[in-house]
Amino acid sequence: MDGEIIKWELEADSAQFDENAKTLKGVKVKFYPQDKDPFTIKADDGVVKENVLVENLTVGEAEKKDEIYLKNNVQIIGYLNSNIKCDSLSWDSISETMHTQDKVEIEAEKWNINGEGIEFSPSGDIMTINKDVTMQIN
Amino acid sequence: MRKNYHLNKVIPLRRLGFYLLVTKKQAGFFAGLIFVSFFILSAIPITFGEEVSKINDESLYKRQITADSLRWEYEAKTAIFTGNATMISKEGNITADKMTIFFDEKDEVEKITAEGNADLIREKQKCGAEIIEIYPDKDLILLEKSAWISSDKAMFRGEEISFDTGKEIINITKGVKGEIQTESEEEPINENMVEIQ
Repeated sequence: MDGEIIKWELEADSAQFDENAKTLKGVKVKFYPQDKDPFTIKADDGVVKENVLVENLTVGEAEKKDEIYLKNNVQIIGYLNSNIKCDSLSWDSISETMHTQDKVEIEAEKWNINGEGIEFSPSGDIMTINKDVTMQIN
Repeated sequence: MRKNYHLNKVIPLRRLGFYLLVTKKQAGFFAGLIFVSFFILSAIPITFGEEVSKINDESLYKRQITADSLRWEYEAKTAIFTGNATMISKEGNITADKMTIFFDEKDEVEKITAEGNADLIREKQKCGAEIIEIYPDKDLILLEKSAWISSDKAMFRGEEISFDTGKEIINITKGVKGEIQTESEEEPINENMVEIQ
């Protein structure tokens, strides 16, 4: 791996591979965004799919993407100095964003946020919550 | 002669024989009236007490903001709330179309801005403006552009209103106009009402 920037590492308690997907238990994904502190995502279950064909409507051609879907007790630890909890989380290699429509709880040292639906880029610094936001500030 | 004023209705000062405009000639009169009005605004009992939700004294949090959506910009240290934004805080209750909270390097609130139909309800006053800015460290609230402030006794408008929340001093600047409410035991105001001259 010399010369390559490791963007993320994946660990799991167990994994089952089949033709279409890798099904994981006890998932732990560690991200190393450039110029930012690394953060970890944990979940009870996960599915990794590689080379999924999707139609690019702009170009009019099919393209391939990788997908990670995490569910059950999803925790994002240390992202932008906060911890995020939700029931499921998706990521794909085209949008490169993490997103869910579930209820989310975000806790930091001096504030917390509750809402529904979250979207963020692991390498970015902007996080959006789409619905019913409540923030409490100390 | 007995003064027949409508009970619990705001009566424009011009209907009482006055009309408040800021001119050089009226500066002395204006200053006196504003002083009296500040006294009225600040001295009356808790006018909007029932409307003001308060942060529970035992709460760990000083502020609670709710909104339809949030955009958190970590590097810029800003939280941008849009759609039906409301804030309950020690400075009062604010509602607006958009609210932005600016944090400092220590994650402390440095400034809050409320834009679009911005209203602020405090214990003794209700006020609003196109833009409301709060500077917690400076004990300062600024209402900018088409600002207004009212109690159940008086209503003033101006281009800018500032609150020194530490000293409980209110300043209204530029284009100030005002109305004061009076009370009576009689029936509604009519054209035969006696005017104060």
